[in-house]
Amino acid sequence: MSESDPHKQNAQTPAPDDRDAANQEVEIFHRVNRLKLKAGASSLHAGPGFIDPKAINRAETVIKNKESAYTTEVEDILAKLDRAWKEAKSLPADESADAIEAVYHTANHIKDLAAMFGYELMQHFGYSLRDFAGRIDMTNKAHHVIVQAHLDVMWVVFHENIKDHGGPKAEELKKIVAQAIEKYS
Amino acid sequence: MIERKIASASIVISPTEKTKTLSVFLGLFFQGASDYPARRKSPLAQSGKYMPGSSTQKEKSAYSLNGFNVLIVEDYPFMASLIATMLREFGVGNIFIAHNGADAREMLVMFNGDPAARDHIDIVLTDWLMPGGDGIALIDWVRAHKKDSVRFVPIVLCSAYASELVVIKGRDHGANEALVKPVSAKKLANRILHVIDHPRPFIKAPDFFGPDRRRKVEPYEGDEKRKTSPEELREHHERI
Repeated sequence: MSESDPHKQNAQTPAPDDRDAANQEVEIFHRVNRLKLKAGASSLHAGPGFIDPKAINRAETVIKNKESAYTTEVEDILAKLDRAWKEAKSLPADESADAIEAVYHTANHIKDLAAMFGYELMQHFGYSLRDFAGRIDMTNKAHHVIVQAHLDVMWVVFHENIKDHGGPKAEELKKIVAQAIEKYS
Repeated sequence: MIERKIASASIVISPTEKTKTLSVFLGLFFQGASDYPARRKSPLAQSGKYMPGSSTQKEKSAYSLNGFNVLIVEDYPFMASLIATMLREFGVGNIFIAHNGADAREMLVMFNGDPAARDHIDIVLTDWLMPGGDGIALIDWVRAHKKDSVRFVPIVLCSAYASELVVIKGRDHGANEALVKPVSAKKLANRILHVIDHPRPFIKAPDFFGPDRRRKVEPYEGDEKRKTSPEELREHHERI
């Protein structure tokens, strides 16, 4: 590789070991913007470019079309959440950390999935459960009630295909969970 | 000179497979020039409809992401596939998916471990919350890596937390950009463009290594608080 190879690092860039010696120094690294050239800019000094708006619209459309997969996906993931929770309950409290972590991350996935397709109420409960899963005490039976309340309302939201945050049914379900948290946590 | 030669050669032989062969040859000859699809013409230019100075001139700067390698680090496969779909629509050439931080580290070592390799991961899109090591831990690992080809890789941190605290935490660990979930095509495109068009110099300070945390420099009239004078700073300018 010669000096002009774009992948070759600047000879002046200090090796990590050298940097350790001067650990208290402040250094500034001005890097060549390879990405700009790679993206097709005529030069490093060319102005900002753009991604073809048609491509962005196409991407939006493709994602919107995948909304039909939401129902199947959310059902699968709710079932997975049920399984993780059952496993957590079946284990001694001091051995349930992995199962609790699975509840935490699965709830997080539900939240992300619902948010992506605009299912605000499911997003709300996914967020609420994930938040609570971060502080579950398995020795506290009241915490079991709170998690189960989340699971129950999420299944209701799924079966009744409630999308929006507002509405009397949504408010009622949110109230159930809020009361469970307030009473038992 | 290099650009002109490659462009003219492409016109003669394209769009057959020979173009690739020629590009490889010219790339070797001109020491890496073929890495840059900068010489590829935009679709409009290829169609012959592009006229310099016309209202379609803007098309000239439409980016081609065909040569890009993007690594998605996301533990939820369905979400990873949605993001990959968007990137594919943008024209990103190679998309890799790691479902946890450990796999991501392995892939970064595999692709970027050799500084002379030509298929480096160009951008990492990482989720914040993942089992077995979160996105912040991955950023810490990248920024502490001994090899420049790893530690300087641009990272976009995806998080559902939109709070200022989270954005600051990502920034302070060395993320280039933050992408707030839910991810949409427009937001994703916007962040990628930011990485391409507005790279910041990297700063190495006693407690930080990452892109300059200041996005803009504004005049300051208060007392001097900096411990290091501009003259004491060591600046490294990479050259091609």
